[in-house]
Order: sequence, then C-alpha cells, then structure tokens
Amino acid sequence: MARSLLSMLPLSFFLLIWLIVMSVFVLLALLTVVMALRYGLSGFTTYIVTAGFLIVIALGFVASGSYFSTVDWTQTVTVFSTALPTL
Amino acid sequence: MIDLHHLPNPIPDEQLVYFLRRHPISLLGISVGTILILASPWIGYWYLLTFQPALLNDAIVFPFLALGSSAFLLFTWMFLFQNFLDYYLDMWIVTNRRVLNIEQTGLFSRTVSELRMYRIQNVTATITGVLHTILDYGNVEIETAGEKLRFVFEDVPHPNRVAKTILELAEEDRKDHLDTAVEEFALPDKKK
Repeated sequence: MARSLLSMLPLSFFLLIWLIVMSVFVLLALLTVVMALRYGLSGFTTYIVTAGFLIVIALGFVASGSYFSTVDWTQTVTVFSTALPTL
Repeated sequence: MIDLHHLPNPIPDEQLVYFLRRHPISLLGISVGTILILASPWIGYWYLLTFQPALLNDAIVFPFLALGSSAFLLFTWMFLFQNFLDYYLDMWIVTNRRVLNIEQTGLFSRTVSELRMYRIQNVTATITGVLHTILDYGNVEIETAGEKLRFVFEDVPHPNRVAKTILELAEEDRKDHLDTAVEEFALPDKKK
C-alpha cells in the first residue's frame, strides 16, 4: 500500500510567474526603445523601426491576453507526486 | 538622436562626405530569424492541429504552452531587435574635416571616437571572401602616425572608393593644417 504525497498548485500561480517575467520583459523593452530613440539617426527610419518593434510586442500581448481571458485559472495542477511506502 | 546636419562638436566649414553603416547583407541572419519568429506561432499551431489535436483542447496543458511560447516569442523578438540595433547604431561618419566612429556593443556599451583628417596617414581597404567580392563590401582601416590609434569601418560598401576619398580628404586637410601636421608628425618645422 502506498501513501501519495501530492503538491497541487493553482494554474494562476503560473500566470503570476508569467506576469513577473513579462514585467522584466517590459522593462528591458523600454530600455531598448530608449536606446534606439536616443542614439538612432534622426529621421523617419528610426521612428518606423521602433514603432514596428512596439507593434509586434503589442500584438503579442493582445493575442496572449485574449487567450488567457478564456482560461479557467482556478484549476489546479499536480506538479509533484511521489509514492511513500507505508509501514 | 544623431543629426547629420548638426554633428557633435561642429567644426567650421565642415561638410558631410560619407555616412556609412555595415552592408545590409549583414542583416541577413536577423531577417531570417525575424521571419522564423513571426511565423513560428502559426507553424506551432499547425503542428498541434495536425499531430497533437488533443493538446489544443486540454484545459491544463494548452495554457502552459501558451504561457511558455508567448514569453519565448516576446523575448526572442526583443533579442532580434537588439541585434538589429547593434547594426543600426553602429555608424561611421566621414566629413571633409574628421572621421567619427560610433560603435554600439550590446545595449549599454557605446563608444564614440573622432579622428581629425590631417592626422590620418594610412588608409587600407580589405575585401576578403566570395560574397564580399561579388557585393563589393569590406573593411576600411584608418591609421594615424605615431600612435596606435586605428579606426576600422567593418563591412562597409565600396571600401576601395571610401579609402581613396579619405586619403584625398586627409591630403586636403593636411594642407590647411600644415603647422599642426608638421608638429604632430615630428618633421622639421618649415619656419626654422
């Protein structure tokens, strides 16, 4: 006979991790945009290229957000399961 | 921003001769990467639809895939853009009075150096490789006398033409700065 040790985590826990990672991403993306605008050549190309970078990011967030809004984040996930022998 | 009409530390009678970046062919890797990264969500979706359709309806696995792949795609996109910036922010500006060397290494490392034309003593153009020869791009090395200061324009288009122009401009500028040039090259002063 075995006793099960299960670790159940809500799915929202992983969403929280994703949000933390994305906040780092946003910070780095902002720094990248600042560098592009600060040191780029004055002209149309710099603005177009930077806008293209931001538009793709925005599309990524919109697509992810619209899918994530359909997910039931209250579900739980078994992330660790081990069987312990009983005496 | 860098304005070609208002360069830093302007010199009187200065005129822009060349504005150089690496040849656009050096963007080939980034372009292929960008196409792949933008196509990958559709390729991934097609793969799941064809070979793993059960995963698309899985209430646990698919959100995990979406979380992971969205983070991966966004970070890869930023990595590609930063690589593009490495190309875009590297520039060499040649005027009739000086050479400006602006190099971006990574996101936070930037070097701006300047060399006055009359100090230039030797300019070498190097084209190595089949692709470089066909598309006529390569390195231009600029050396000054006495010091080990050396500018290298990497993978610029038409390096031979650029090298020839810089040598001519240096010769012209040296005539205008004869006294300074004589002092710097440690030649006998013409006034003595």
